[in-house]
Amino acid sequence: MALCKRAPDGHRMIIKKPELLAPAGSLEKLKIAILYGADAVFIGGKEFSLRSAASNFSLEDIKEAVAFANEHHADIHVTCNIILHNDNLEGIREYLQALDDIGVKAIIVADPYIMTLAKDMGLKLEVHVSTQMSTLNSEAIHFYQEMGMDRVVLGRETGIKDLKLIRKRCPKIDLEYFIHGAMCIAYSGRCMLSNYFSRRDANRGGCSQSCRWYYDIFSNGQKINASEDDIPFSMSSKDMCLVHHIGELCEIGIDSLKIEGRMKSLHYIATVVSTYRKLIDTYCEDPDHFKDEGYVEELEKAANRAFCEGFYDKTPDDTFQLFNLRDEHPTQEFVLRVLDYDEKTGLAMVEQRNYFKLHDKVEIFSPVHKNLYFEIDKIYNEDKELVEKANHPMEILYIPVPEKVFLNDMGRKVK
Amino acid sequence: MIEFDALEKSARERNIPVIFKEGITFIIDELKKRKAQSVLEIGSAIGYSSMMMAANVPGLHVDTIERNEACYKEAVVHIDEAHLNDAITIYHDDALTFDTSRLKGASYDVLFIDAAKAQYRRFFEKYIHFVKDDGIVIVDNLDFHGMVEDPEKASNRNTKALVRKIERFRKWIKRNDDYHVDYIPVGDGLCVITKKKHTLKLAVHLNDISYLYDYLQLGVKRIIVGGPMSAYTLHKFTLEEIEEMSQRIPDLYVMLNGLYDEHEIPKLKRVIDAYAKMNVKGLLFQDFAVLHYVKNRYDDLDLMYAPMTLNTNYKTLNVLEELGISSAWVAKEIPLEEQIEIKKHVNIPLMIQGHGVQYMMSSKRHLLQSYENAVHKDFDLDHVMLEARESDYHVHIYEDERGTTVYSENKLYTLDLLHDLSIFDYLYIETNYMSNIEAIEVTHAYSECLRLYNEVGSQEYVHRMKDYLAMMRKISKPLDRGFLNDSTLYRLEDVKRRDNHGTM
Ligand code: SF4
Repeated sequence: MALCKRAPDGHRMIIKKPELLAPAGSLEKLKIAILYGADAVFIGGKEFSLRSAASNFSLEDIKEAVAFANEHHADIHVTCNIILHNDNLEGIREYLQALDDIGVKAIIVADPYIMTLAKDMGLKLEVHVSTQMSTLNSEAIHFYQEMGMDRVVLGRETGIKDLKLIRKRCPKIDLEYFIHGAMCIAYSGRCMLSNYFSRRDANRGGCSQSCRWYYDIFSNGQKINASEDDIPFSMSSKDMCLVHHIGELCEIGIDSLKIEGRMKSLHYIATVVSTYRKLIDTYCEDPDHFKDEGYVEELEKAANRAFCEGFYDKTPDDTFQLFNLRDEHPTQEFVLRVLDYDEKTGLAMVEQRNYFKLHDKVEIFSPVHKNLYFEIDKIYNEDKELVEKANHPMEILYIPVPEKVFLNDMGRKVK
Repeated sequence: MIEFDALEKSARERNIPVIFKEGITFIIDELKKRKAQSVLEIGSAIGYSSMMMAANVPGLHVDTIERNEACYKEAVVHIDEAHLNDAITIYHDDALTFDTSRLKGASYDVLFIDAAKAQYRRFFEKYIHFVKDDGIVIVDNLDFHGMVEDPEKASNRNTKALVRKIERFRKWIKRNDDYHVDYIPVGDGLCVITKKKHTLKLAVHLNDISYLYDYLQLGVKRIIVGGPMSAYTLHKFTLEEIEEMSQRIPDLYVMLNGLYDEHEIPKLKRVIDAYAKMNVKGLLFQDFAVLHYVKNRYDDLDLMYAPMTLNTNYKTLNVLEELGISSAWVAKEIPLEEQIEIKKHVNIPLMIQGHGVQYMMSSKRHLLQSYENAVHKDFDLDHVMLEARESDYHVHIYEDERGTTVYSENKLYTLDLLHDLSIFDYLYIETNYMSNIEAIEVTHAYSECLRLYNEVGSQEYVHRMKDYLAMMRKISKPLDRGFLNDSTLYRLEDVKRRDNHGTM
């Protein structure tokens, strides 16, 4: 497929847009991700997936996810990316068959046994090589290509120069690249810190994030962080954010741009997905007149760690790392979700998601319109009685909003 | 010699494959030489070869399995006519599904596989357990009329696939230290595969070339070295040094075990090309780029898959064997029981770590330099240790041009577990963070204990091992058992359950 074409007025357009791939840890988040513009969503199954936590989907949930995605022309990818132990070997075949029958678009796999099995079974679904395999070069990608793999998710250590070469040398296989989210400090799949420190298996989703702990550090037996005020050692990366490079990634024809964070909040998903959606669409519409304005500010509203650009331009140095956990800050608070809007009365029906009160300043954001700022000057409860504050989770309320808003628009408190 | 020429002639006239005369004569001589008492034959055809063996080797019993019903029935008649019923037991069955508990004659002096070539490997794997140590397996020529050397010479697809299968079998046998192959140039050629007594052998990560001979003298079988582009080693030898070592050691493995960036690939290939020209026996690797490049280029270079953390089940290793790996290093973060389970289900040689500090993590980032810059302090980056505040487990951390690597301070030890470990092929001694003296002493202890276990007997081993262990506790500390008796949790429910119990 050609990458570009000329519009009737002569300006250049990019027609092969990369897929925007978003995470989801629940059906609600999945729906929001799709409504806010994700082309595909990746989710974990209850079995064979990292993050073996509450954020994983049962087969029933996956069925519902696929139905919803189909209605909205989006795809579902399911992670099956654990490194198998002998006692995990049972039931995989049945599980893959079930996923295929449900109609998921792809599975994301780390273990070569599952890769081969899925292909031998003749399933319709695509098989994607997980980032857990830390694939960084074309020679390894050719190996996967010969195994019949449909896509390789590149390791996070891949820089842009290498990425360009890889794209050129591997034109026939889909490449997925990580653009936003938390980063492991280690080569993926090669970290056993959690296994040794906490007896929790990182390669089966049990990671205790030992890298982000504090460590006393000794050189030749001398304590380096000797005094109370000295910053202890830690191995904590700032979060990756490639907002300023999306254009370049579109230009070289990367097939999929991935946002990380299956454990993240609804607010995070809505904010991050919609920002990148608008960015990709705006850029591809008219790449030569694109202005990189406002996007990073928007992303920061849903960030709880400082951003860095990972390995994009260079190997990360000290400025890419958090040596002090106080560097982490809370995200802006997500307070409401819009359910309906009455144009006659100017009242929005909303669902409370966090505490807010009269005279709070709120920003409504949406996949369909620009951000809208206003001060809350009235709050009605479900019986249309005036109240001062909204302090019951999920309660239905009405507030006057100066412009038209839509179902699933979200409101966050502005400080 | 008693012969059954009429039978041979009639078989040939009907295109029933029977062994050529020089072949069976050679086998009969071999059986006599070995004073063989029992033979297992896969593929009786019409009974010619079993009859030849049974009739010409006094005291020999032949067990033979034939799948084809017509052949089987005819064989029964011939055996009967020749009055060899007492010397030959013939089974009508498919050897691949045959219930081996019916075999009366095990263990056998000789296994003779005279059946579908495409299944050699499966027959071999199924029946090799019923062959005595120092017994032999005889198969047809593995150089399939020159075609194995060059599969493209074969004309049709099926033949090509067959040739490839045989070629894989040949390579696998050649690379497996438990077997020794001789080619016998009689007729079209025969292969005699000797089953050696399986032993666990020592592999040492060499950190200092001046001790090379000491290790070899201690009976270390395999030397593993770091070189250009290696990861996880505190010492890297130059290509010249490796070349020189390769001339002196038959079993030298080089670590090409990093994860490589695209721009490093040309250099990676040059380094591989260089090793291929030397007498290097194999490479330790984790990046599939290495496998992909070597696989169709350098037949003689063994590929040991050593991704440190990933080899945790047998099915994956079996898949990877199909894809070209020739041996593997089992992850040490799983219980010994599971490691043994893996060994039981794979057919490639496996290495496990026996002693030394334990790899924990690697990062492409320069984490120590970053810290140094962030806190504005200068310190010696070569001897750094970390103590986690939430754990009393201490670790070494070092940096090189490939990034940062973390090792446990505790050293794994298995000196008293050799009986359980003997099923494996190589026991690896990690010498990172050991002095030369410690490395030599530790190797000495393992090599002596292995010798006692293999050559003297397990009682003597158990008895003497205690002294060595006491010595080792003094020179190689702190010691621990790693994950050998311990499994990890990964489901959140399980973690919660454990942590609650911990506090209750
Ligand atoms: S401990 Fe940190 S670096 Fe290691 S797997 Fe967990 S999150 Fe990744």
